[in-house]
Amino acid sequence: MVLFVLRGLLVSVGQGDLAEFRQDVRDWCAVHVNGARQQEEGLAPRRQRAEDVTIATNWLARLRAAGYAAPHWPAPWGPAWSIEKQVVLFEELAAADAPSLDLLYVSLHHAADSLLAFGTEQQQREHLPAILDGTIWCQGFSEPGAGSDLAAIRTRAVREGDVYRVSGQKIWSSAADVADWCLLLVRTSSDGPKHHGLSYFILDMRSAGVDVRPIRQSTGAAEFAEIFLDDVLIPAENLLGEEDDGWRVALTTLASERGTGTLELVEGLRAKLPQMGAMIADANVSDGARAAFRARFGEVQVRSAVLKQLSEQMVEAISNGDDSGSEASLLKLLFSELLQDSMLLATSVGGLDAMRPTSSWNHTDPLRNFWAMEYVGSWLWTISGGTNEIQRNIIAERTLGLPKEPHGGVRS
Amino acid sequence: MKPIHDHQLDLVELVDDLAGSCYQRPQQLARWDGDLRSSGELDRRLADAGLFGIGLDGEEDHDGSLADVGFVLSAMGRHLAPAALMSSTMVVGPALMRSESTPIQELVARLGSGVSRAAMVAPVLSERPGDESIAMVHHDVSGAGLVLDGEMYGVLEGSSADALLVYSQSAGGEPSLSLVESFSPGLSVNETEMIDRSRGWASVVLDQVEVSSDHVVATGPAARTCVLEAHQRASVGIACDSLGIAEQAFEMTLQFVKQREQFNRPIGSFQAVKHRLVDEYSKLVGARACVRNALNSATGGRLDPGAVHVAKAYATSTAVQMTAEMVQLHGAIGFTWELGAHAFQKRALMNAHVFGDSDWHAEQFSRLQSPDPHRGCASAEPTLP
Repeated sequence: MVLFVLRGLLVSVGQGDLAEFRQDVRDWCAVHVNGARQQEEGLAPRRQRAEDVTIATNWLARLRAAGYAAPHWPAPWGPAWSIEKQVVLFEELAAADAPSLDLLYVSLHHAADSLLAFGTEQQQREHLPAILDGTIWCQGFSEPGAGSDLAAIRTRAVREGDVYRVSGQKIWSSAADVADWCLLLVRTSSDGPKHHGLSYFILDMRSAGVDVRPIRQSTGAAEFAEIFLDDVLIPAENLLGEEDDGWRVALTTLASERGTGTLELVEGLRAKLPQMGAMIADANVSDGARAAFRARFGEVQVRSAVLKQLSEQMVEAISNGDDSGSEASLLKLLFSELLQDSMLLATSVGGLDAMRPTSSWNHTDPLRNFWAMEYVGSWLWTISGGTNEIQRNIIAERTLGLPKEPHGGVRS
Repeated sequence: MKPIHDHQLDLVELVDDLAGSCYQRPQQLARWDGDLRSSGELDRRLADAGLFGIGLDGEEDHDGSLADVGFVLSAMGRHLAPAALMSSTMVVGPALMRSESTPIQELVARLGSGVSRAAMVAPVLSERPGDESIAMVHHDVSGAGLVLDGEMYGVLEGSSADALLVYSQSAGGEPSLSLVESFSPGLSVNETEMIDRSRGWASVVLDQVEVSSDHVVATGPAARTCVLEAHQRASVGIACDSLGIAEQAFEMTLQFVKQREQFNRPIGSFQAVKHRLVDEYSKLVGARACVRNALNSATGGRLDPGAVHVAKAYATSTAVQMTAEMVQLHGAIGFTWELGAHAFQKRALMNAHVFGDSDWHAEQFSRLQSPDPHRGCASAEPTLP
């Protein structure tokens, strides 16, 4: 009973603090989001990649000055906020339509989590503060022949004294065209099962022999790229984890991908919902059609409320090491499919208006979104980081304990 | 069900050949970027082959011609071809044929030879065709003609049209259907960017555009009937286009999952992939059946409204779902510009929203099937302007 009361007291005190914190963030956003926006509005609607980099890194610098950057990082590198506090930050940033940190997503999540789990003290000291300074990281995992079957990678690294000589090809690497560093998964041994014999490197993208060719995607933007590696030399000290033990590091990267980052994504999606509700209210349709839209929208709202609860619980479990190993996959599945269904609904409601761009259809002005293009672009989330088919297999095998498919399961 | 005639298969093969010879990869990629200039070549070849003239050349079997055009349009959908033929031959041309006015008859002849193009400007373009608020308005000029005002976007192949078929209403709600030639003072037509860049989409502004009496196609109930029939042909034309898109997307995806290997086996051997292909296949055969049924439903040049609604609702939804699966099942390659799955997906999305969206067609079909007792008997006609 005492415990119960105490617990209630703690929660209420905590919530009071959070309310105050929320107001702080809101006030801060009122000043800073506008400033960042004005900077952004001055740029052409179809801007250059270099400008995207400037916007993202400037915004990270503003967040950092306020103490809002990398809230999930543990001490001494970051503030290690509670999940509740992170969620408040993400809710407020999304509601204020703050600039996107997509370009730094791999830096702040994949790279940071992998360095924190497997990096030497030297590696952590070199790279974690630099990430907050705005260094951009990309991920060199997939290859033309190794997508869903990631362990089938063939890019090879051979040790020559203090360096490794690396040759091969990586693909679907987001932000590789502007990245400073790459999380590179390569084969160092062909003996034994394919999950063995992989090694994980930190690659300086300015190294000789690295050639990056952007790939244009269905929305027309080129946000990912191919990386060609031709006799690239990587210092042996840039190995992350042990030689031939790269798969274990890669699993950490892959799990982090949809861990804490999901909180931010979910809030980004939830921030779009009020606008969809307004579109339904204003749509020039029959009463029957409006009621049908509202029913579909209600379902989207319920799913997003469930996802919010679930993501907070699961991210908490992951950060406590209290997870079953497939929470990240489950969140990715639920988020990406909800996103897709929501964008399809917005497209249906908007009709022809949703089919055409406005002067700046990117996130700068959500009231003038190009919904059909957002729908087309939503496949980024159902495909990248392991397709949803692969995520389903992971959940089935790891959490449900179902037998693997003949000829090998996924990412065991 | 009526059989598919040999000459209809020949038409499909002809379009395949012509499109294949016009659309090499570089031009295809350029077209996805909104560069429509390369599209003129295919239209010229289609015209040379006489395809713009099907049903417009004065031959007797209008109903058979309508089905033939449908096969052509479906083949054009497969190739993401421009839609001048749909617009001129399927939608506008037949609406003009009953007119006895000389300039209108001359236009029909030019449309049939492919020399001229036409586009329709009517509220039926929208996703909710009953929306009168977007109809053009006109006022009569001493019985001698009309003056038109209004604006609309999303006009299919509007900017390449030499003439626009405009549906309008007077202040008193009296409808008229008239022909506005592209050089008319007060008319401005501009190409607009829509998500689908494989066809032309225009915005049209009519500012005090005068129409002489010999350019008035129909007035009163006749105008309403005429635009309703044009809308049904357009709906079937779009359904054919979506069927072509779905067929092509299905075939490309099927080939890909047979050939792409991961985990040392074709990904199509995984049940998770296999079953999804089967789900799409089952929709595809349904789309084929209902589109054929709609095409063959014409009697006296008039399509069966129920068959049209089913075809438009089902075939366009099928194409949206099939192209979505095409992207997903190709994995990251499916998300690239280069593969072009996006071009199919975007055209499929557009098709699902022009000339009445899928929900609207489904609702209309439902009303035809089970009339609302509170509204008296069901009208055989949808709620069009």
